[in-house]
Amino acid sequence: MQKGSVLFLSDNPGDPTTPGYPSKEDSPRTDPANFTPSIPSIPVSHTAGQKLLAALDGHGVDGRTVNRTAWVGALNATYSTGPAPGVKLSLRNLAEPKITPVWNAIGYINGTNADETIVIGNHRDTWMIGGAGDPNSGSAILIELAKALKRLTDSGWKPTRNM
Amino acid sequence: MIGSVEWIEEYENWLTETAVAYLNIDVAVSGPVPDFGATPEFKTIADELLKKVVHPSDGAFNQTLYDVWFDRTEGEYGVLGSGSDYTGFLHKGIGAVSIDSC
Repeated sequence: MQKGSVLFLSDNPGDPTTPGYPSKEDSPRTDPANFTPSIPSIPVSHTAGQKLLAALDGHGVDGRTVNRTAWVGALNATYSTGPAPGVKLSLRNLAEPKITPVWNAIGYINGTNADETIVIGNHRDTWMIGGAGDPNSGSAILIELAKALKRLTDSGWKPTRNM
Repeated sequence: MIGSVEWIEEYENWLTETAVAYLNIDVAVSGPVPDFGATPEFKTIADELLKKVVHPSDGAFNQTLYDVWFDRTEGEYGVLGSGSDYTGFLHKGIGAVSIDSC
């Protein structure tokens, strides 16, 4: 199951306790409530989603009558609105709020033109177990690129721009 | 994205003075269809570079990456907003190209 992130992807995509300035061990920190969602959410698996929708079947307005874009999906259910009398959902969302280190892996090559820089990058965290495609296929390319660039710099080559 | 955003915030002065481009390589291999996003100023140079790369489609090597991508997308680059590490760069006015597949 792929887990997403509740990070404020557009408004404040960094550390929610250091909006607009770098997050260091001794950085002043602001209340993360400004940049974290007030409504808790949790992704559910296909299996759990199927059960939830099945419990709503036949109750309230069916999905086709609702007639909203993307309301009806591909699971075997009528995508009814409910409420379904007697059905109780028990949901636990365990999170541990804490300040904890994260690491960037960064390499630099100076170019002959010190005034211009090209940055090449990727993320290392993943939204699922493994992450073969997202992000490790990209990271594998970056590692191979770094090896190739190392051989070039060992031979005396220098890029025009900083990398 | 937290790591890239915080790095950009730490080196903001150097990056905004010298960075000419950010190249994002995220989901590089997950399917046969190349998928590119770019800020507008890089579309022309990206076109030129894609035409120089051979794409191993169907075991043949007679098509470029550009050919395969154009067949699927009619040459439309995705619009970069947020969703991967180009976000922090865009927020500081640094253009980006993002390479993905789907």
